[in-house]
Amino acid sequence: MDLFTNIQIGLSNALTATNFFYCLVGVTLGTVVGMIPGIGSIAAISMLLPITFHIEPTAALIMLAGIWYGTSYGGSTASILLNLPGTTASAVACIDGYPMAKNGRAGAALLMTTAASFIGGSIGILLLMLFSPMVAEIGLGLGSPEYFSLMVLGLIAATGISDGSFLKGFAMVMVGIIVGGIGLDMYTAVGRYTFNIPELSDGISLVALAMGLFGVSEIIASARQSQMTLIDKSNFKWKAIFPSTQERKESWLPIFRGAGLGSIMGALPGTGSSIASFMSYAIEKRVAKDPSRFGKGAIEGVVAPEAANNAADQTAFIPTLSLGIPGSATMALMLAALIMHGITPGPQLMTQEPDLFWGVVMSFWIGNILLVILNAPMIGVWVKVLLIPYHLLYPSILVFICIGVYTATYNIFEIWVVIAFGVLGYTLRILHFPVAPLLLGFVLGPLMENHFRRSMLISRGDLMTFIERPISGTILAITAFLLLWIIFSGYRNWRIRIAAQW
Amino acid sequence: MKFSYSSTIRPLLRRTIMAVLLGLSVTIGSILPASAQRADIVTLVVPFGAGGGVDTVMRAVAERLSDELGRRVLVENRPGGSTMIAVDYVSRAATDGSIFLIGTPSLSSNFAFQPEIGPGDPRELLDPVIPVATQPYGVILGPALPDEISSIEALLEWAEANPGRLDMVNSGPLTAPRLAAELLSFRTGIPITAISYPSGTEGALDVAGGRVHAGINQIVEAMPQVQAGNLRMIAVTSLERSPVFPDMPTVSETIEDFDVTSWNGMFAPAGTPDAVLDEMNAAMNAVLQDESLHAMFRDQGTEFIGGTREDLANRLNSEIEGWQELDANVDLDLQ
Amino acid sequence: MYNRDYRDLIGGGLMALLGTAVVIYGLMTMSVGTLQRMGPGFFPISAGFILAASGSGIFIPALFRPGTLDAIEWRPLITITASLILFGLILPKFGLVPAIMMLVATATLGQHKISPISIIITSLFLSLMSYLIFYLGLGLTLTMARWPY
Repeated sequence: MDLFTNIQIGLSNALTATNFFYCLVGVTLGTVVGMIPGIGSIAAISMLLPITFHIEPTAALIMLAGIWYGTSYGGSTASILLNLPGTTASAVACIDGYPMAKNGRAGAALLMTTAASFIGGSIGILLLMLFSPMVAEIGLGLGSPEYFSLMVLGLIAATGISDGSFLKGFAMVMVGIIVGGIGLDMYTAVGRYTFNIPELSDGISLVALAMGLFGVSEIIASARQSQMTLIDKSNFKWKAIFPSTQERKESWLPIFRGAGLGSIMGALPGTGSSIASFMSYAIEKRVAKDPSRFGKGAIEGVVAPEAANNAADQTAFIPTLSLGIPGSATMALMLAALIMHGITPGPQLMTQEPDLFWGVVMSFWIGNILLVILNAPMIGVWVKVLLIPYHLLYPSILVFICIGVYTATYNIFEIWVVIAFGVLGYTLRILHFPVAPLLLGFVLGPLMENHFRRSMLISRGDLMTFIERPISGTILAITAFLLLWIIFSGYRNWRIRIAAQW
Repeated sequence: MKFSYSSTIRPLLRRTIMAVLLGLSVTIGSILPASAQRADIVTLVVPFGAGGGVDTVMRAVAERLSDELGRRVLVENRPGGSTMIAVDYVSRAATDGSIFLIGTPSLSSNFAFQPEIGPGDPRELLDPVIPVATQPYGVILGPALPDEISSIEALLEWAEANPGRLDMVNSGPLTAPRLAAELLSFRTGIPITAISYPSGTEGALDVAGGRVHAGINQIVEAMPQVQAGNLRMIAVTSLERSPVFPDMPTVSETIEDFDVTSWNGMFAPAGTPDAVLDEMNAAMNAVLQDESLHAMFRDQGTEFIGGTREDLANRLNSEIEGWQELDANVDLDLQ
Repeated sequence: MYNRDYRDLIGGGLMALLGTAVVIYGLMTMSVGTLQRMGPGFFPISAGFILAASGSGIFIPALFRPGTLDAIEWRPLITITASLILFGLILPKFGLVPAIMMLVATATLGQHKISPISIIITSLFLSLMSYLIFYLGLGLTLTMARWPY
């Protein structure tokens, strides 16, 4: 069967009234849930679980998938407007998105992220359609040494993510690794820095950490600002909501770069979109003519990670459907829905159930188009959130943060975590330490540790395993070159600075 | 700038909120049953997040239990602490039959291996109601082992000929697959390097990719790769052959009395009146007869069993004693 | 402007202390293991060590250069932290609506821009929103208000 027939089968399946309806339900709910800070897709899922039992598997999958990628579309809204990230990917959107909002460019930022999401998503789907079987094959060939090398590359590539002292960023990565290591050890079940608190045995939750570090610390810092609202009212002319020609021009290349990177990273089981968005941000900053604009509202820093994130969301279906590895709770539920209907996700899914596979894939196109239609007109409304006087807005944000983190586990402990990281975030802010690297260390640290320890167990303690295995060795060689380049360009800049001083 | 609440903020908020609420109520409200009264509700506490294997099974059960009891049955997810958070939560809840815990093998392994952590002895904290379902684990082999190995005997022979080389994947410390590997090693005297993964699926993939020799996995996790021909399943770990896979030998056919089974059972907070427990036991026994339920989860190897309150008590007790024996004899590298 | 860079002295010092504490507590409670069979302590203790080193690297040069220090916003720091703590204490006992009211009232303490009436209106409005979105909309199990005694 060639691709064209498959597309036809898929489209005719995805466009039935029922499937279209469930696609609409999924993406709408995903958008709404994504926009409410602190509420993840898991809330939407538990709500729809009973329904998924009763509808046929294609419809169930289309709906759940819609929630999954719809959440990403909405996810950056709260990050850009209020510095409130719910996922690692949207934490990257905070770095330049929130400054853009403060400069009165929130509308432009949101519109461009919608465009970036759509383009990123589309490229991801294209890859999914063309290369699924091949990518699944590669996924089977990648083991712990490869993943470890890949994460070292990601970490090195992302070192330049924040301004200021390299040492401070580096220290923050280490703090992130330490915080990420809290909980029961993966191999021995020994509690690490848990102080015998049962809630800590699962580790710190990402949402509570991000809400504290970014959201609460920002509120503490600006609660007493002299202005009535976050931005000046004069910025609310329609002209200000639309991206300028220059902003549009500056966005195209980053969007495509981000989408490409995101597609590749998303297809790797278990690594996913968070690393993709961090890396694509770092790449944009490195290739930019004027890196100093980053962190102060550079549009490239918003759109590239956003495109990467959405592309990764789509290609993440490759490992889920073809290897049976769920990349997230949402994905796990999709697998469960399939299994309940007697369909085993796995390498054979594509050939045995072409109707289902291609129907779901083609529904992604429909979903992405629906998301643009849903999101674009709402931007005007969302931007007005910034016109709410801040002394009324910030208590509301706090309430939403609290309810969000609490209902994730129904444990008050999550609120204590938010408080702890809110105070820490504010302290770091006063002392001019960047918080984004902390989040990167928090996400990558435990993954790196698991893969490193597993590699060592399997190779019986032989470090050469990282170099001898061809894919891992290649990745490490690229890393070495990158490192040399970073050191060299750092040295050159230093020379120039010294020369200028004399 | 002068600010007045009524003129600036109210119309604005109203517009924003109306938009949000309209969207919410139209799209969500239409597809959801209206929220019922919160009184007269039975809550089943699942110690994992929404969407997991146990969670899906219990939601399907809850739906049928609701019809049987004529009361609303909710599934509440209390993940965390290797199920200890949920145990602690239910053990301190009301004893009026409004709340039940869905217990897993972690109840016994947590207490047997790390009694100092967690809420305490599950036999004292909880009243058993009914065994719900069991699921054997499968022993899987991958391309890292020669093709002709297709039985437990052959696997053990290979391991004896290649001392210290056998690696087996599992789904994390103190999970039943990990302990099953330790038990296998203890009973046969053959050293096995247990390699932990956050989930059994990832472990199965490393076996299928030829990076690890073998594994003990939930059957549903290994099934895709078995069907694709990347993995071979050679035995199940339950004491008797599973009715779902009648042709699959058991490990106990080679190693006597070897029994590691995944199970779910319903527990009430200790001190719940006998009448309440018996009523729930009867209702659940009726629900577990439902053929559609069996059909739904058969492919995963899930078998709905039902039984008496004593059945569940005995299972928990013998499992705790079994792990305590292993703990006393083997330095598990867990502490 | 101070004659020493107190910001980095404090920051570097804190990181060095944190790193040292992580190393010491880690060594006390966990095994480091071997390269083949790494113990639970291997990674976090190494990270703690590197953190302590980078902290010192930030601290020492700061001794020899002048610097500035940002003013700390003590009042919002205290009121907002307190408002979150109160929310966490009140929610399980009395339910969501009292918790929201307490949070809004505490978080806006010392804000002369906001009148008591706005506080009440804001809390009621947020309670209604939470009820509609979280309870009815998303079907989350939340108690709105109750009297535990």
